[in-house]
Amino acid sequence: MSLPRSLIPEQAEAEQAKNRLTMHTISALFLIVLLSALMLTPEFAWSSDTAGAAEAVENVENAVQAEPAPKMGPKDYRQIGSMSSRSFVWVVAQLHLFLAAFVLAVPLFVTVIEWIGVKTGDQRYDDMAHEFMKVTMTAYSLTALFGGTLAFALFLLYPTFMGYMMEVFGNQVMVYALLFFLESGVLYIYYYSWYALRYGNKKYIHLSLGVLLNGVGTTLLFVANAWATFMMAPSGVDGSGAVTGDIWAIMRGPLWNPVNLHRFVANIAFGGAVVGAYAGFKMLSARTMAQRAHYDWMGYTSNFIAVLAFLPLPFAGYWLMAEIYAYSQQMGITAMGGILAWLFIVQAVLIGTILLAANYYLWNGMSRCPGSKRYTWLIKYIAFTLVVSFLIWVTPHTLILSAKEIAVLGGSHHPILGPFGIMPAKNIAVNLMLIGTFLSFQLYRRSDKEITVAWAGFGNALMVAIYLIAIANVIFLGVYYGYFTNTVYKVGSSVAQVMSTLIVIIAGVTIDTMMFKGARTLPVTWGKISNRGVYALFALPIAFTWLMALMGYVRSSVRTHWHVYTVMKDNSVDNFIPSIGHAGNMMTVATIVFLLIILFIFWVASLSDTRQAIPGQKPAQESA
Amino acid sequence: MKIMKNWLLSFVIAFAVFYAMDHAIMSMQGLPLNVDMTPAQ
Repeated sequence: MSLPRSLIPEQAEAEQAKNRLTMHTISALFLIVLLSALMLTPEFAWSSDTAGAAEAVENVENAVQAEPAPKMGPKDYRQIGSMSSRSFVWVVAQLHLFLAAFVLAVPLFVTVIEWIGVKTGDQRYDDMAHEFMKVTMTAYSLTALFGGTLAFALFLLYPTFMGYMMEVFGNQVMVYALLFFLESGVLYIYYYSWYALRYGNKKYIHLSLGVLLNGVGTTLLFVANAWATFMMAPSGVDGSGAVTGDIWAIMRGPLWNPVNLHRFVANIAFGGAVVGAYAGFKMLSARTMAQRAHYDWMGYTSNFIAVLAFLPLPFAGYWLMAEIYAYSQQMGITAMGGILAWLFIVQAVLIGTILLAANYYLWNGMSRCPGSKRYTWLIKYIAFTLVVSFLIWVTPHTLILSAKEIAVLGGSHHPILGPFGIMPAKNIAVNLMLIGTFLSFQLYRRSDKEITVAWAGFGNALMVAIYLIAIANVIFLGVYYGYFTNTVYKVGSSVAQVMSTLIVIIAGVTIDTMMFKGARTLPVTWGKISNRGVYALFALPIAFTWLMALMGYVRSSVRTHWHVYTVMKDNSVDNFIPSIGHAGNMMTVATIVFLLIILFIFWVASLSDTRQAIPGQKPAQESA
Repeated sequence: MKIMKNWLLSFVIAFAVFYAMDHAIMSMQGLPLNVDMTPAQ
């Protein structure tokens, strides 16, 4: 693969052929080191097919096999003064998760952006990727600090519970520690070697470091997810909580992979939204047009990443909920049919906010390109669809009413709005919002292009037909199977609705990619976007953060009065699902504290660009 | 005429894809449909 000339100084190009083999070998070595580290760890599940490792696993199993989960009493819980232990751990864990999601997600798309820079030879991608990493570096230290605080808090306040978790997971927690060391080392090398490994074959070493960093980071995420999913749906233990399986059986619970996928995708969307806010912050405070243009482009890229990752997220969520129902109907009903069901209405408000903000930003961004005038007439129809769908999505089924209100209404359900409160209506609404958002994206991408392929007429007609029939299909499936057939068809048809949306997205990307071949590029003026449009970049991370706090709480609360569901009872003073108001306050506190931390991170990142003027001289210009 | 043909062909293709997808997805879940999309007994 040839390297872009703009990134290769002459000397590096001359060395390229000579060093190619060496460079690839070194790159591969990083991956081998990681794999070796995992395979040589006796307790780690993926090494269980080797005789030595299997024996070690068996030994540990035998040691703990006879030990059921302890019965918890008052002496097993501690408090700091009069502070609620649950509330303290709740906020600290949430902050740790926010930060961890951010620092694990950003390197994922940074490596991709860096790769695009290499492929296209456009150095702006490289600069942008480096700036994203700069923001992440401060967050990384804070993630570790909150992680340490969380671990101390858990061992201090819930010592017996943590003792049981250590007994179940054994040396696996040390694998986590090892991975954390690896992550830290690779992260620092990746960031600080950016300019040392920038050109020629050395760039490939740097990209390999990025891949390694993400491999370690994603493994860290999956290892930690196993602890959370074990608490929700324990596996590898018997009814008393005694360990019966190896570490692989314990980790590979029914909810592990759905949570892995959901968190992985959600983290990317969240990370994109946060760096988008950074770009918006820098753009609004830019002093030159060049700076404004740079951060406008950065904001657009961030928004693109956030929304692209966000579009498939509801489907990952559906899979997780389906697996929760399959594991325990009681747990599913607690989540979606009991007290927690109201939080799904709040979720609808937040997701609706995210989609409206993302679309609003795209519509505003169209003003960068005069070519967008061809498509702006469609915006009002997309906006109408989004607003109507949003209102349907937030319509509750059962209203909280007084006896007098019920008498006036003629029942507990509104005669006209009642049908909008059930899932078929909401499935239609969600899918139409996603299709509408993708249409905004597609129009934006087409704004700066004049398609020249001979079959442009057919391509456009096919795209229109796919949109119209997909919309008709989503509505037909929702209305007919949702309201006029039995429940089994209602649930079954929701899968076909999701597929309709996915077909639109996949067909849209494929047809556009083929149609853009040889297309004329129209001028785009970066920085030419209203400030109102940029404010949408702040709405996204705020809504994302709140949403993560909300749904993380739901995921954790479905365990009700169990530390480990059906295995280890929670006998603390907090062994109940708190009121919605209390939970809302807790999530809001965590969200506000995180946003303050993010502002601190942005400020620190900007501080490194600031130079104090030499005494007696005029102040230096701030660098871009 | 060519424009008309493009639109007609596009809608026929799109309809066929979604119709086939509906049948395939429902059948996979053990919920076969009749040709008119009513649930098969």
